[in-house]
Amino acid sequence: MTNIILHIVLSLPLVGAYALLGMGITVIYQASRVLNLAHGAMAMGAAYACYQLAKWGMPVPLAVVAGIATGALLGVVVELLFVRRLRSAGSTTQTVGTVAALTFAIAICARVWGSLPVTPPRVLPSGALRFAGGFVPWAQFGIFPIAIVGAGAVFMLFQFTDIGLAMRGAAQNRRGASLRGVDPDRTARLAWIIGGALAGLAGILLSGATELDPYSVSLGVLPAFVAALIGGLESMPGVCLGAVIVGLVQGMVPTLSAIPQVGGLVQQQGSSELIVGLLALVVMAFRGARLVMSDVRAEALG
Amino acid sequence: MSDVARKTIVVTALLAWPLLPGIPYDAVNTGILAAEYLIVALSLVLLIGIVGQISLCQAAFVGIGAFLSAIATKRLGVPFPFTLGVGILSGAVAAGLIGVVALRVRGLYLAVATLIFAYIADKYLFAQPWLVENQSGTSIPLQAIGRPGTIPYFDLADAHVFYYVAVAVAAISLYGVANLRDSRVGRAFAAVRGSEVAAASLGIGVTRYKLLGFACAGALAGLGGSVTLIGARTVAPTQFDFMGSLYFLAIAVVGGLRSLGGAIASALLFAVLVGEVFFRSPQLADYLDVISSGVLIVVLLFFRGGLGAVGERSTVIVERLRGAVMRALRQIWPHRELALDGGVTQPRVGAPARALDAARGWVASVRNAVPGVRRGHPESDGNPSLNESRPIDVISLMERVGQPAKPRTMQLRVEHFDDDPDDEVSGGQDDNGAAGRSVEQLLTAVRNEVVPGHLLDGGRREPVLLQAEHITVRFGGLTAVSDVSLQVGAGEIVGLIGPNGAGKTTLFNSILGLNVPTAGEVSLFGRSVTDWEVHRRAALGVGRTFQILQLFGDLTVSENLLVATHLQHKAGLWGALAVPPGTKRSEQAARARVRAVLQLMELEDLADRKVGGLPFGVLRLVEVARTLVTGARLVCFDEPASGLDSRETERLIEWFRVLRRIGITLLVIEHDVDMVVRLCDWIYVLDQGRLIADGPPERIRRDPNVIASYLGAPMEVA
Amino acid sequence: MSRMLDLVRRRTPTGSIAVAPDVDARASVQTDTRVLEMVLCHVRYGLVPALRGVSLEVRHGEMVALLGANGAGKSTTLRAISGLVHPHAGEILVAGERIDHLDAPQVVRRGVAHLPEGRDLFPNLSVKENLRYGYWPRRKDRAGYPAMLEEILDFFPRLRERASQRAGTLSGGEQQMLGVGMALMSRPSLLIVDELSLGLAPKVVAQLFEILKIVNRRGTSILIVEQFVPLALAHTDRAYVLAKGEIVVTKPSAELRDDPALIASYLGGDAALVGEAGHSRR
Repeated sequence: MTNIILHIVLSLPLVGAYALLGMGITVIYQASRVLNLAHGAMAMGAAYACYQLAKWGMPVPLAVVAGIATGALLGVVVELLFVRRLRSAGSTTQTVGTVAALTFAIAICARVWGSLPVTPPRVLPSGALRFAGGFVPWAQFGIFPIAIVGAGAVFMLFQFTDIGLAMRGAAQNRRGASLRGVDPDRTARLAWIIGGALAGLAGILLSGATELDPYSVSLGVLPAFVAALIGGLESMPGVCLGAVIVGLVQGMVPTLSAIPQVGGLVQQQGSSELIVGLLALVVMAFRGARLVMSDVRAEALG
Repeated sequence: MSDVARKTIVVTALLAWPLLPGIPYDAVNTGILAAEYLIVALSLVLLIGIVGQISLCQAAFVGIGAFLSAIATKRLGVPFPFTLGVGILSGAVAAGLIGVVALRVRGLYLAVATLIFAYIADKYLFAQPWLVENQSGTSIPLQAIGRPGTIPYFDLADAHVFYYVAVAVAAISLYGVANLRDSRVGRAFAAVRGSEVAAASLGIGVTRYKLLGFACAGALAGLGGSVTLIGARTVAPTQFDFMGSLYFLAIAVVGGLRSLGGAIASALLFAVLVGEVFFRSPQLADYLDVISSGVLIVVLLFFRGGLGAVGERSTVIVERLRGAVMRALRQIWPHRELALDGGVTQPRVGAPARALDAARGWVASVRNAVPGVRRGHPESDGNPSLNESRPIDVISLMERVGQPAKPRTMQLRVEHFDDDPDDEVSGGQDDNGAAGRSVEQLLTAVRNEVVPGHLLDGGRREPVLLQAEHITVRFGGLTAVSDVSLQVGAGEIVGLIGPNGAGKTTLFNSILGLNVPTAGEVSLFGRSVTDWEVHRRAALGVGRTFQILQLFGDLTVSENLLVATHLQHKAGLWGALAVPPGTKRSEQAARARVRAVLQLMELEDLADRKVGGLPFGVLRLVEVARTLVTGARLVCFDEPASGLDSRETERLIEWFRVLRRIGITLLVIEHDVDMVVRLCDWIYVLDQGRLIADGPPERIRRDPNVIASYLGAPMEVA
Repeated sequence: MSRMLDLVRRRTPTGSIAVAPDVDARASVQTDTRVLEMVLCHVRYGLVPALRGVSLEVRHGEMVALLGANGAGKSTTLRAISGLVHPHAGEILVAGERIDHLDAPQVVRRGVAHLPEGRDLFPNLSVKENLRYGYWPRRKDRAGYPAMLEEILDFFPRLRERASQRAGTLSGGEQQMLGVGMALMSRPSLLIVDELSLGLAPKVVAQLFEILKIVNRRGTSILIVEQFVPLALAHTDRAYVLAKGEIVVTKPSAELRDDPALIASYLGGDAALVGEAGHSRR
């Protein structure tokens, strides 16, 4: 039993990171109707920037801020080059564009920093939290409270400020927003800045807890897409719920091996990824039906 | 240079170069790599370019093909050529599973679904010991045809031998995809890509063709995997990870996704980059990923047509140059007609204008010649019975009409879409009655046609082709259509009118199968079809047009019509890939049918124009022509006059009358009351989801409820 | 001036909306200042011409109708004014300033509020949030917001009742009220309204027109596109008729109203229908 609780606690950092990433994906999707497959690249770019600046002697807190800013900047660049420019070509091409950005970023980072892992600066205090008979290092556990604060701040921004209102409206109805004086292109850019910054924060925290290489962060955000899908790509609380589900699945699957019958199955390599992936496909089949329905409905009424 | 000569040279070069003295062994390997890339690139061209579905997991299909081929070879001892079959089959099955997901989700969501599949394959599937021997991959023993010492004996580990195998497989794949693209199946794919609703309305089962598209693409990818395995004799999971998928996608995108030539060029380019440039120098090798993704970005941002567009652009430039030269020549020798025969310098803008002129002349004479629709005339003999599926046969009609004697006058004259109403008549006469003559012939034929069905006492006709009874449609809490009944008898023109938001389109969708009514029943041609899918109803003989044009924008006019022959012939996948004589014959019949309709509607001049750039009024006619090609006996028109000016509307009304005399029954949704009143035999009026009146036009236009709903009469004015 | 006064007399409110008695702001302003001028505008969608040299104007305090058959180019005209499409030839001036090159958000800041057809709201935002959205061009004036909100909610008591409800859950008429309220939050000098009556019950439409008249009397010039011709003519000062992208008639609404044949010939309707409807209202 304590084992399970310990595993839950150990999953919380993943939950936090997925919440940050998933919120970014959702915010960006709402603003531009594009699934930003380059999201992991933004996280990775920020983490490498932070690593490099700290290595050059910049104080770690400053390097973290600069890293987050890099994430935001990458967001702006991807939006400008691959989303706005390719808008006329349709969303499939835009998605391919974000894929191109992802591969390019990975290739560049692998070229500059090599494909072997590096050890980024420790952002969070050393030491460990003694919990339920185990130790949870702060470097990991700290991600969770920071993520909660970050997610809360973004939620407040959207819910209670004029600019947040402008962004929510522009996401629902571009034409309506521009007729009320809001430039939807500018709110979209802001969304990419926010999404990029959130991705940067998540990337720095995650890599600070483990190691940094060009592939694990950039491609490891896939569970965050699943979390965002569970939230229907629109609801912030939904994304957080999705992050909890996905994070717990990933964290808890190993504990299932203690159960006699199921144990053998989950001990196979990649079984937690398999479960997350299947979960995503199920969610999409479910959500997909709803999406198709709303299409037909719009057609019928239009 | 003739086509055959060119092909001979290409084939000879492909076969001969590895044998030339001085060609290094590595270069042959590059050739093999290019063939492998081409096979996978073709699978993406097929899936993305032709079927219009995206995949970010193509490498996973390649990997599945490779690993299952390896298992077949090692554990089951499957000999060489059959290993390829294993690859094809396994790729097809895996991709078919993703295709099932694609039925539920579209566009972005499909991209994510394939991404997730790539993730599962990468993290789980390729880590399983039953599929992959160990983390460094799977190796297979030597593959060969025959035994050492006997004849024939081919050692597939020999790059020279395997080169020919790989090139042959790639060539067959290319041949298959090229055939497929121009076949009935390929056109169905293109229709699914262009507009799923329109495809279904032409009788194409969207579900089936999406799955088929995925399976075909997966089969090609799996084949690519098999070839890779046999060539290298060892494959590792890292070759087929997510980055691998993106790499293959890059190859296909750089090729242009639509053009086979582009795919070949791109596969060659990447193979040469990898095999000749990067592997020769270790410093450069580190930049391979940077360069390949950089090329992808450049192509996406600045050259979206990819390498495939290079050919097209150079053709355009050559044509322009030729045109300029011809114009110059004509200035020197003004009387020579040589330039005009080539057709190159013929002004493009002239074509639609000529067609419009011709059509105007047509309309003028049709209007004079068609006597008002005779009612109560005994026409009962020769009625098609309800269940006898007799599609409208335009070809035999055109045979009776004969070839239109329209001379191809090629004088360059300023054509314009004039706005002066007086021009309408003279515009027709300008063509010295040429168009008019064919119209005369057509009308003679049409006059002998019988309007199907026979008149009943109440003013309706039977047999009843369409019967909708007590239809109610609710969306959530909103009742869009409430207890509406409607019927259409053979040979009638029935109107369905009502202000915006009255529920017309919803009712229409229930009739055609785009929604299932909450209550009520729909019968077509005497069969209850309430829960039938759209394409099955289409197969019964129901056609439709769309308020917002649903033509396939990147196809030409005649290709658009060819798609509509889908129900008229039955070539399957095998016929599409290999084109046996039977397929060839039915293909010719389909083209003849399209030609006949193009002639009938005076659209021949535009046959090879892309639909994208044509004037709206012409496109409406193309949509009408498309329903004619399907041979539908009942055609539903959704706001056909919207977007047309008053004269184009007139022309359309005349067309509708001609259609009826050809034997087609019409249901017309409109909110232009005037048009419906003039055209229809019977009118149904909807308002706020309810049927507020129905009857013949005279009665409808006096109905106080109708006047109220249209003009807001109950409004009190201060 | 005497015509103005005559109009004012005719326009005594009879509707059931709770509004304090108004001072007529229109009479005190010079009637010749042009709020909007559109000069020889051409608009194309791809190859399809939608407007061919449209010229029209709205003077200060006027209420003007733009009529025409389906596809005549009415909505395109409004879209060109509010910057949703740009004319490829011609000029559009608001209060003397060229705006035809500006995008919609910039045009709004110059005092033009466009209420497009189909109730262009933010369905997932609450009524109050929608109104706040309308205040965006004036958001710097934080202090002015509560008063403005009160003013609009006084104007539409129904909206006050539903202030925290999601806009998507309102009835059609309430949504249209919200649309008007949202447009007014920016205190526009020119309000352009597309198909106010679309899909609404006649009684609701009558109420909405009364509201527009009050708004107009308080000094906002109004340009409306309306498919119920008699209704539009009954409430406006002047009318333009568009046909195939060109202005074919410019007349005081009252004159046009007495000429059903003219209406029928250009609006594509049935003369008899229009005539009967016209008679039924006298």
